[in-house]
Amino acid sequence: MILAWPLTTSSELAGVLRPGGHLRADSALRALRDKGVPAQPISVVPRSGRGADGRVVWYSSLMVDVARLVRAGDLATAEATHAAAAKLARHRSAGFVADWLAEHGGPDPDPAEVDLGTGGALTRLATLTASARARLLPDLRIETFAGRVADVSGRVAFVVDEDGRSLPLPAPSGSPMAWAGALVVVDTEELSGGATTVWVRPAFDPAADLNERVPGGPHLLTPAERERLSRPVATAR
Amino acid sequence: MILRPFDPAAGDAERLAGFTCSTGLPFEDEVETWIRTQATSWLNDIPRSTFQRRVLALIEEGDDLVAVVAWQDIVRVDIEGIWLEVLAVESSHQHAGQGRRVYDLLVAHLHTIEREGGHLAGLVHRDNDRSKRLLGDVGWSFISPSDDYELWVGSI
Repeated sequence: MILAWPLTTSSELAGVLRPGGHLRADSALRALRDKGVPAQPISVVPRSGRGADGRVVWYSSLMVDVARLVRAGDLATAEATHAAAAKLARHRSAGFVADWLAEHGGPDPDPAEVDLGTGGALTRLATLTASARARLLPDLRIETFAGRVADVSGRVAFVVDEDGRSLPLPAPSGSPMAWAGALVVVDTEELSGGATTVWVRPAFDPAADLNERVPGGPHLLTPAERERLSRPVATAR
Repeated sequence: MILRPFDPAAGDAERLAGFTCSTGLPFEDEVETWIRTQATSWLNDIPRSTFQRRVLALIEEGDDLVAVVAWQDIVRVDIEGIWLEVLAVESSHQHAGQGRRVYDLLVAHLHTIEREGGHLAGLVHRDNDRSKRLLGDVGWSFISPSDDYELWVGSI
């Protein structure tokens, strides 16, 4: 199962709050705070071993959706999503990830390495983030697509999901070939006025646990399965 | 009956290596083999075992090993609580309600430990009618199929 990197930065939040524009990261944080949905840090990481080049502050990636909802003026859903983000920021798995990042992480940590080093805490945090997002998705007004960048041809990259479906995307400027093979989650958002914005976020595929009695990765309950979960059970005979 | 954690210094590795619980059914053989050959690796898989709070325990009555249980935090599915990796009653102690007694002892213990939520979940082989009957009796529900297994969820 491909899971999105469950953390974000204030720079990314600024980009979501003002797509294509220029908003300072600290202004983005202030804007969210002013709306009553402040971003709560999960981890503060020195950018270099000596900590001389500033720091990276990580937040739950659900704050990306909060920023998007604030921009769209849907404060009720933004507050519900913010509550889920705050809960994730306090989760035990977030604590393990925060500790690892504080000790080992730089500005661009490798998700596979973080997951291995935390004993699967990153997978758990990402699973719970994806779960919260799936339940909020009908109100987020986006379409999401997870896959691997299978091919980069000229200025177009093709992302292929686990069912073999392909999504063409504009390749990033700079060195697009470095993108080939990357796991990504793509959010497509319809903006007012008919414009479409595509948000591409890093993702990872959790490593198999070789000691599990029954092999298999994480599973998100479907709405039908969740309904079965909440159904009253027969009393013990 | 008492439940106590796996203790290598007490010779538990040797006891697990000789543990029997299968009546010859393939899915019972799988559990028996896992306990004999993999359970301690599962327990000692650091840092996974640390984050997931894995516990391997023996249930004893006097000097007899009655059952082996293994559990951890749920990470396989997006609910919170305890994941039951294995609950296996030793061959000479099966039937006569021993499975239910072992289960009740385990749940009483799980009430006392730190955990993220109140669900109790696990995978049961689809042909394992005996276990599914027990789980149904103690209030678990079938949630979804997963290849040859079924996800069942109850509560602590």
